[in-house]
Formats: sequence, structure tokens, C-alpha cells
Amino acid sequence: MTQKKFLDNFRDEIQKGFVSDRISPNNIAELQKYKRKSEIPSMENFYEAIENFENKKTFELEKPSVGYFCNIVPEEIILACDLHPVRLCCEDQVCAQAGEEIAPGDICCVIKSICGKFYGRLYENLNLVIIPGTCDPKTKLAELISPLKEIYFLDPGRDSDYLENAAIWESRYTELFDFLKKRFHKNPGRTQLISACHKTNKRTEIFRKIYQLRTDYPDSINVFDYYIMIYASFFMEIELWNDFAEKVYSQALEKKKTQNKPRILLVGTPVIFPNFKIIDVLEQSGLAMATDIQCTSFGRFFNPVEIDEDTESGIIRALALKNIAGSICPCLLNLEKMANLIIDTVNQYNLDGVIYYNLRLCQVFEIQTAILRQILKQRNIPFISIKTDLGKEDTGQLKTRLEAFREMLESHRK
Amino acid sequence: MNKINIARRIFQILSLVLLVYGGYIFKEWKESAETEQSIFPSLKAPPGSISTTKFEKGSILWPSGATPVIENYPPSLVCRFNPKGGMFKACILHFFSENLTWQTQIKYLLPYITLFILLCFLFGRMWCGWVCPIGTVGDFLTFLRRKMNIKVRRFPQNFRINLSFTGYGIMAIALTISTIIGMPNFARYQCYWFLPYCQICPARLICPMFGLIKPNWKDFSTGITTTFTILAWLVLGLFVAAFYFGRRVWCHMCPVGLINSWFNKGAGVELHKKAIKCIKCGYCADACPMGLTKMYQMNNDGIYNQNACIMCFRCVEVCPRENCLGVKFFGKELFRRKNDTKKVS
Repeated sequence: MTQKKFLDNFRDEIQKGFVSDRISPNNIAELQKYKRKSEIPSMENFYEAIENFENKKTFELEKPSVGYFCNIVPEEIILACDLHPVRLCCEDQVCAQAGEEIAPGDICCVIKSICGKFYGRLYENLNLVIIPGTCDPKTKLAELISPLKEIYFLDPGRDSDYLENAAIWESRYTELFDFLKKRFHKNPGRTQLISACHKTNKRTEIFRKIYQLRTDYPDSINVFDYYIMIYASFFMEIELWNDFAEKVYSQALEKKKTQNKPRILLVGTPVIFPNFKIIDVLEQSGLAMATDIQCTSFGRFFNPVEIDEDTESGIIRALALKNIAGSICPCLLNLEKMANLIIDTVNQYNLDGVIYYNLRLCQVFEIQTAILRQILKQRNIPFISIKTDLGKEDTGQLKTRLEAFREMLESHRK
Repeated sequence: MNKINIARRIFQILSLVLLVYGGYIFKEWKESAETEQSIFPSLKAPPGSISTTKFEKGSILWPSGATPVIENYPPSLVCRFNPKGGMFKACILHFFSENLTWQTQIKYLLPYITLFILLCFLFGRMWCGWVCPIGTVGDFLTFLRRKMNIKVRRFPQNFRINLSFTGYGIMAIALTISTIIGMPNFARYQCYWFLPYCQICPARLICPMFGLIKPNWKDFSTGITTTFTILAWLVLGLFVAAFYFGRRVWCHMCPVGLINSWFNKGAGVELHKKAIKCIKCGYCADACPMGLTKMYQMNNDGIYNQNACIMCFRCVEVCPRENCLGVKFFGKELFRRKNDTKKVS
């Protein structure tokens, strides 16, 4: 069992020492701004869901809810136990500032935001939080928030290119499955696992359609709507999300129109509401984000669960392969895979350039920039690396850089 | 989804029906075949030797009492023990074993060998994955295990390589015995040692049961037949355990499969990979019933027909990346992994 009670003896001291007042980030105004830009009526559902979520600042669900981070945590196992999975990845500046009391200023802003949210008592209703040891800050995060919440620490091997590790991943996932069954007094079997996989595969199917549509016609679903849909999937019921997304897709099909903006591929750290700075700037600079390679969208939705062996262990293994072996997270060993993926996506969809978006202080993303730049340079694929944080101070500067990049792409086209 | 797998299952079942019940289905052909003389007219069996017609009910090599519809040897494991003679005569190991004993002249064997090589050259080891009735029986055992929710056993690569060495070892021993008993001085041993591999092959006990004929479960008349009976039981146990717990692990040591595997590299059916599409998700390696990982490991474009590959194309089927893996027939593309969503335009 990897469920440990970290810092259990020091719980009171830690809780007394830090802020316990609720912090109240207000992102509704921001949300309304993007809502006005939306041209698809069905997107209303997603905006409404996020508005409710932001207003309540907590989860009020019939089912027990389980928070998690990263694709490494198998959503299907949580769904199979009849629990509500909530992805807690967060890029909120207000929360990040509050979180600086717990986590130092010069570490990953996602970790700071999460600390802010937990210590600001925004996640009171969560029954359990599953934290994977994907990267170093996430590993320490398990200890940082353990005085507040029940934590399950999931430690995968980081060599995703070594298939013998699949046995280890399978045993880790089985431990998690057994733990959830015991903790929530559920008794799911493989039928429930298969049905959970069907749900996520249905989501994959819809996402692929949307992904494909956007690569051909980036304006059919605007980039803000796209990321709003992705963000809504963090906490919405999966069947509901599938229904709404299907509607959005059918309405978007009618809106497809060709446009002449340079079509770019956005690679790198995930774009999560309310931190839409990069896509805002992209829009203003006259670039069209045709497609992306990010963990919250492509990495999470694109690959289906392929069940080869429909035994319980076979399904869990399939989940492990989907979530870990097929992962695009730079924390795992997969730079070659990433380079292949970028080159292939650019060639397949005939894209004009690549923007490598790096949220400052994420070392693993930053560390591979030079190699990727060199590989793409040799293949004559325009590449720009953008490094920024949650603050809006550098918006003007970013815009200038991206406008210059657009001009370069346009001249490259000619 | 899973169209290839469904097609393969249907083909396997049809092949099983044809190869095992061919004798019943094409009865008229069979009757005309029965009137013909021996397929090897020059056969001069030495004194004391044995031929198939001499086997009587109760003998360990009793071939269900009938000749097959077509006296030929396809690259699949068809069996002399099929009820009513079956569709084809026997497998290629049977062919080599009996003709080594009979010392048949090579010119009479050439048509059979040519046909065998041609079929292998066209389809490689696809015969194992798509046609072999014993493989189909084994796949049914695997299906049962899955329905009983029992975890599959995965064997390390070294173990699988050792299995194929074991298979070659058994094949070498069987062929050597067949050659030795063909010599005039040893002809008296033919009644015990004829077709030594067939006597321990799991098909000997499985195939007659398809026609509701009781196979020769036990022959304890002499020390040699007792040994063969016990060995046959052990091998059958291994066969059932191998297929039940470990998918196609048995096929690594099946001598017929091993002979087919020589033709896999350079066969008409080619599995190829476009490396840039690969995201190393491992779906192909995980789904491979033979446990092969080369398709997953290779980082360059190319044709990756491996010796042990039974061409079930499960890897192509489970690959999540459009156009990453594909199947060609003599360079002409048969099919590729397609994206599940139709292109919107």
C-alpha cells in the first residue's frame, strides 16, 4: 500500500501555522469575456458548468469525489469505483500568490496554485486526493498538503520507454484499485472497469473529431472554447461532457470556414483556465492555434484504452499503457517520442510553425527546449520558445515576439 | 473496431471445420480418393515396415480408418488423426517423418515440397495465426481463461527463445529416429517408432474427439508404447496449460510452426512500420499473442517480419496512431491502421 499518513504527528502545528481563511479567486469576469467571443450556442453548457464551479468554490456532489493530478492517475479506475474524479491541476494567479506562504516563490506556479487552493480551504469536500510522483514538486506536494487531506501517493516508474515496467505500473494501479474499493466500500469488478473505459473511449472519439475539425478549420471552434471544454472536463460528469461536446461538434461543423492565418502547433505546458494569456496573445497576434500537444488535452484524450485482455488485470494493464507508456509528459523518458510527434503533426496537418510554451519554473519542459529547437531547425520547421508565468505584465512583450513570428511564418509561406 | 480480429476468428473457425470435417463435407471427393492407389507409387517399403493401411483400431497410430480428401500437406497443422480422414493428409512434419522412414525418392516428394514452400512463401506464418485448427482450439482455451478472469502469464524473452530451441530439439530427435528406423537393419523397430512426433503430438488426442471418436488414450502393451502414452499425456497437459495461461506460448515450440517460421522473413505478407508515427505506447507489444516486441522497439521505418510472428495483425489493429503500422502483400498495401474518426471536409 502506498497510502501513507505523511506528517501525521505534526498535523496541528502545520494547520495552525498557515492561513486558514478562505481565499476567493474571482474568474467570472474573465469567463464572461471568453463567453462573448464564442459563436457556438452549445458552448453555453460548458461556460455555465464552469461558472457554477467557480461560484461554489467547492464540490457538491452526490458521489464521493476523488481529486487527482496528471494523466498518470487512471481516471477509469476512479470511475469504476463509482466515484467522481476531479482533476485538480490549476493555474490561478490569486491561488498561486496565496500558496507562496507554503511553497517557495521560485518553484512551479502550478504547485503554488494548488497549495493556495488547499490551504485556502477550497477543496474541503474532496474525500481523497491521489498524487502521482510524476515530477519532483508533485512528489513533495503530497507531503505539503497531507496535513489537510487524505493523500494516496502513486509512484510510477519514469522510464516509459521500457515496457518491462508495465508489470510495475500494473501492480501500482491494482494497489490503487484495491485501496479505493476498501476505502469507499465498493466492490467493482471488470464489468465496471470496462464500462468506465467505454466512457473515456467515447470521450476520445468525440475529442478526435473535434481535434480533426480544428486542424482543418481552426476557427470552427475558437481556441478559447476549445480550452474551456478541456477545463470543464476536469470536474464535469463524463457522460454529460460527452453529450455537450457532441452537440458542440455538430454545431461547429456548420461553422467551418477557411481562413488565411498561419496555423500553428502549440506544444508544452498545459493551458488551464483562467491562465489563457498565451492563447489570448496568439489570437491578438493573428496566429491560429490549429492543434496542440499538451497533457491536459491531446495527452489525456487522444489515445483510447485498447483492451486486449478483458480480464481485470488486462484492463488495468491497458490503462497503464495508455496513461504511462503513451504519456507525452517530459518528466518521463520520451524526448524522441515528443520530437517524432511534433514533426509528424506538423507534416500531417500541414502546419506553419511550432510554439513551445513553457510556464516558467517547469524545469522538465525547459530542459528539452534546445534539443527540440535543433531537431526542428534541421527539418526547416519554424519554432519559437515562449517562457512566461501566470502574471500579465509581459503580455505586450509576448505579443511583439509572436507578431514577429507570424511575419516570419508568412514570409516562409511565400 | 476489431474488424481484423473478428475476420481472423471467422477464418479460423471455417478453417477448423474444413480441415477437420473435410472428410465428411466432401465425401464424394473422398470416396474417389479412396479408390486411388498409394500416393507414392514407387514406394518399396522394406520388409517388416509399416504403412498407414496396416494400422488397426486400437493401435496408437490408428488414423481414424480413412484416407483424406486431398493427399497433400499444407503448412498448417492438419492431422492424420482427423475423423474420416479429414481434408488433407497430414502436417509437414508427418510428411518428412514418414518419407524419411520410407526412403522415398526425392523426385516423388518434389511436388509436395514445392507446394509447401510456395504457400509459405506467399503467406509466411499466417497459417499458424489464421488456419491452424490446433491453434484455434488453443485460442478457445485462452478465451475461456479470459472469461474466467484469470490473469495471463507473460513469459520473458529468454524463456520463449529456449522454447523454440526445445521445439527444434524435439524435431531433430523425431527426424533422426525416423531416418534410423528407415534403415533395413532397424526396420523391425518401425512398428513402435514410426512417426515418433505424431505419437506424442497433442493433436493425436485432440483431433479424433472432433468427430466424437474416442482417441487411443492408452496403450500400455509394451514399454515403448507405455512411454509414448505417458509422454503424449504430458505434452497434452503442457499444451492445455500453455494456451490456457499464456496465449500462444505453445506456438514457440510447435515444430510445424518452426518450419513455417523459416519463411516469415521474405514472405509475401509484410508487416511494416512508419517510425515517426510511433509514440511508443506499447499497445502493439502488449497485444502480441507471441509476446514479440520488435515492432515496438524499432525506431526506423521498415518491414518487421519476425520469425515467430503468426501474422494475426493484432498489433496493427490496436495501434492508436493513424498510418503507423500496416500490412503489405508483395509491396502492395493491404491495409493500414486508420484513425477512428472520419476526416471532416
